[in-house]
Amino acid sequence: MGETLHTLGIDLPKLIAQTINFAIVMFVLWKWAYKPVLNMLELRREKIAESMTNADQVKQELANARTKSQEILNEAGTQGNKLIEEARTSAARILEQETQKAIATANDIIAKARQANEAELARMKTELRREVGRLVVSTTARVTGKVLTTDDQQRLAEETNRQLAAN
Amino acid sequence: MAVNVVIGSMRSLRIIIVCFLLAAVLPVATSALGAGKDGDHASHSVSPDAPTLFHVGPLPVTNSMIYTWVVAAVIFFVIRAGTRKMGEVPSGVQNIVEAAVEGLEELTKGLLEPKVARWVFPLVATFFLFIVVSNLMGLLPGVGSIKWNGNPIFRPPTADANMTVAMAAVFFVMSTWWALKYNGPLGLVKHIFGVKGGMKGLIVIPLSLIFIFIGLIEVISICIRPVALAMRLYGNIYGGESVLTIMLTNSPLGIGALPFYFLELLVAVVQALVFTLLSIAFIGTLCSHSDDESHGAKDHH
Repeated sequence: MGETLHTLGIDLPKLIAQTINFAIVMFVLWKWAYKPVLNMLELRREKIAESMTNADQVKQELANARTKSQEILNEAGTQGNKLIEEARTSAARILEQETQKAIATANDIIAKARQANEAELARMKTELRREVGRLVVSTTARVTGKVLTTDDQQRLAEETNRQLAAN
Repeated sequence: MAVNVVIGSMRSLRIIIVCFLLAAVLPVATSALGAGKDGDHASHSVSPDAPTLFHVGPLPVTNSMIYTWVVAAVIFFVIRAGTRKMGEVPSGVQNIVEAAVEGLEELTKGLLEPKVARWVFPLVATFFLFIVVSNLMGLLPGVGSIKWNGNPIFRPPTADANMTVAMAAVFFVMSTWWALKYNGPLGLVKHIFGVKGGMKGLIVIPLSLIFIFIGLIEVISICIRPVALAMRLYGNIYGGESVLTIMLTNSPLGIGALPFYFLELLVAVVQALVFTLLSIAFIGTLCSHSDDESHGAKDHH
């Protein structure tokens, strides 16, 4: 055993020295490699997890926003349709009212025009009768060659009017 | 985009191959030239022990200790370059350091319980990084061939039994400590000597005798583990050094060593991985409740 150790060069001072050397290497690696790298990896893991959570949240929020916007759009569409329907109803009602008003106005105008026409006709008829009466009196005076009295003229005019009214 | 990535990786592969070739050819050339000058093949044999170069007070300083400091310095500068200004988006050396640390952490976590993995990770990661860097730097030109007072100035730390035994001793002490911490003193005894398989009743009495015997074998196995770890690593690296030296000095222009440099590149990584994985596995056998858990699960079902 001792001879083997001697052949391999194993003795306590060298063994302790190499143990210390190995411990130094381990300390160096622990201090400047494992610790910062593991911390960095942990930090990166946390950040990735956080990013994933955030991404999920954003996705969820996006989905919610889409649903909400769709709801708003649907509501707006419904309201728009309702408004259009109301506007149509209102427009139809107004159209009906205005039409009725116009019809009434037109009938009124027509009635007034008819009245005016009738009045004019009556006036013209009266003037015509008067003129015809005057012509009859004048013609009669020329044909008979005598001067007609006021009574004759009155009577002729009345007779003419009666005859015209009968026709 | 994909074409650029392929071209980039092919270029990287080419650079790596060239580096490997240089790493393999340069030592061959330098050592062969040295051998030509000396002309004495016997003086080129590698001694099993690391020779003492000088003393600092009562403490002997061997060539492997000097190279251990060089290796430690290289590791220190590389990790400082990688972690001095760490960014959330890694770049340059930070990528290498992060990949190494994260890879080793994943390896440890994959084989051990999370709690145990947290305890064990710094030690096993240091085993791997230190051994792999030592082994690879042991293949650099000048290591074993640059001499002072007839002794090489540099010797790979893993080709010195003191270093491999030191690492194995650290492993043994720490694994025992973790086993006690994990199981408790009584729990550890039960873990080693206890009747396994969830047996109950009178059958336990004869079985306990068998399991005490198995436990004794287990104790011997636990004690042999560090020896096996230390000697496996030392034997492989020292053997590789010896083969390289013999092939360098006994073939024309040392060209016979060329294939062995490629083999040693492989051995350098494989031995580091073997030491690390076995350390993790040995700790795993002492710090696990897999047997109890499986029975618990069975009972539950």
